[in-house]
Amino acid sequence: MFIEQYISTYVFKTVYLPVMIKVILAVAFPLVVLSAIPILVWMERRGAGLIQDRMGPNRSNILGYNFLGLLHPINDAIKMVMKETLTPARAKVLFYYLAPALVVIPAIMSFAVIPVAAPVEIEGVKIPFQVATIDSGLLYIFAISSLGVYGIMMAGWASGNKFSMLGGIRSASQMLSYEIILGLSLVTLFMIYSEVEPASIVEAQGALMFSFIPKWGIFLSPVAFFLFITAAFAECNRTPFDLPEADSEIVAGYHLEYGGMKFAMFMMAEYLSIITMSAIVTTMFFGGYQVPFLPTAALQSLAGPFIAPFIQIAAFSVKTLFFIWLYIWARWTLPRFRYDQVMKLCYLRLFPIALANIFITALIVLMLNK
Amino acid sequence: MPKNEYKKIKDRFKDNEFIDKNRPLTFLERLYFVEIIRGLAVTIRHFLYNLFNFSKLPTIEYPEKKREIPAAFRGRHRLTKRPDGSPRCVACFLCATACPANCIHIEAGEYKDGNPNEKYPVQYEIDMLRCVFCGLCVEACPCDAIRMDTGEYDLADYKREDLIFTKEKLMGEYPPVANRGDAFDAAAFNAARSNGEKPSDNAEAGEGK
Repeated sequence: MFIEQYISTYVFKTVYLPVMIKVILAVAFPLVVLSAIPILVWMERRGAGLIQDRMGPNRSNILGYNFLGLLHPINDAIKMVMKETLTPARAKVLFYYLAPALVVIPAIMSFAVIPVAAPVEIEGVKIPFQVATIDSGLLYIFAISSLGVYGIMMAGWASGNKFSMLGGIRSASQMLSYEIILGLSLVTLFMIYSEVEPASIVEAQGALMFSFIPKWGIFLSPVAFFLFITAAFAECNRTPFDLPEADSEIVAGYHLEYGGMKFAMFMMAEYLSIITMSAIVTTMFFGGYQVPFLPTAALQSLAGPFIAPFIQIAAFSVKTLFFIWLYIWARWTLPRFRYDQVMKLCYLRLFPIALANIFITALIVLMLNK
Repeated sequence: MPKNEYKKIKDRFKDNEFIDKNRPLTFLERLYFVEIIRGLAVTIRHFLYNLFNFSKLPTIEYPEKKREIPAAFRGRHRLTKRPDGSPRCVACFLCATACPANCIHIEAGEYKDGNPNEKYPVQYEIDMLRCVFCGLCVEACPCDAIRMDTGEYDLADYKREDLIFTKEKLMGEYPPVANRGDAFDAAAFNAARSNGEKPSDNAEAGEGK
């Protein structure tokens, strides 16, 4: 059998197949994440309705069936695509059109290093469920996600509108400030797990401590979790830190002059960064794809190498969805901070706490390593 | 507010209940975090309650279902008729005079056939685009000829001309109001108010519900 021989060759197994798997993953990941956006929009609108004792959108239907309002995001998308493309007279055209893309692309890219299931080995071929296994891991996420600030600043400036400008400036200072907290809060976990690569950190979280609590980041460093979740809200420009697009003060901030699909791209970027941030919280603090009390090795021997990844993907999705829901839930609960309060909270409260947290954790790690 | 000053104010209000807005925040409240969780608890309680009691939501899905309107609700006008089908209106212009929006236009005419009512409106138009639905025309009418008891309030249309209601339209049929509340008996109320002064031949006038 010529084909069998070809398949079993070294080159095919170690070069072609892994590359093919990576390509499939690299296509599948953005598709899945992008197609999750309509569901998030639906969750947000329907959830808002129910929280506020309303019904939420339920009008658009096919032959009288409204599918719980799930058709509304599709209708929105059709409307957005069909809209006229307008360019404001004062806009700097090149940057005006470049900005939406610069916001969306980093938001999709940063999902690349997040593992959604443990790698499985089927007939000697290792299938990773992570697009890119980079040693710098989470540092890559920080690097990429801070690129998103450029898009927002560019949008604010290139629109040629004062409100947009204000939104862009607010967004830039807020995101830069909270990125510090975001990074510092994770440093404690890097020290505890001695790793920055997400897949290894998730593997380390599968074990149990004192034989009944999983070694999740939230149990090992709860302070870091609260710091991170606060900073993550600010980083996504979500309530209570949604100052860049504070409708009541600066109309809509940086995306004021954008309409149609360009506006939709800003919305997409917002939801994408919510998904990414929720995925990072899950990965770092809630054991990523780990099923509680069932480490990867045990699960794989129990369910087999074919089914185990799907169980883990399900576990990962459920955890991530919870944090996505937390974003939506908090949006309809908390009022917006004032701008000086946001900055004070960052530099006078969270920053010292983050530093103290690092210092204390470092001392403990140092003492244990002696 | 300093604590001693606060205590002074509180002592002054000791006997009365007052909402304590100037109370200094406790440590837990100043932490803000506990309060956020309490706020989240409130919203999720609403969410879960509404999720499992979806049919109990107060929303009325408007075009399909309509709010129950009270019996004295001022809807669009109609001109009442005599038993022979002629308008009760005697073209006295009291409604047009009372109208604060100047939306009633009447052209009077005379019965040539010895009808004891002598006058009738040749034209009776109400400009619904101008009408403020105040009901002064109904109150001004000495003959109970104009009423606002049709229960219609969604009068949108595509053309301005269609919203100038002519005599024929005002005297025409109106759909029976299915969702009218019965807390208030308009017929009894009107009967008591008119005190027998109005003409008694109201067999057709569309009394009651």
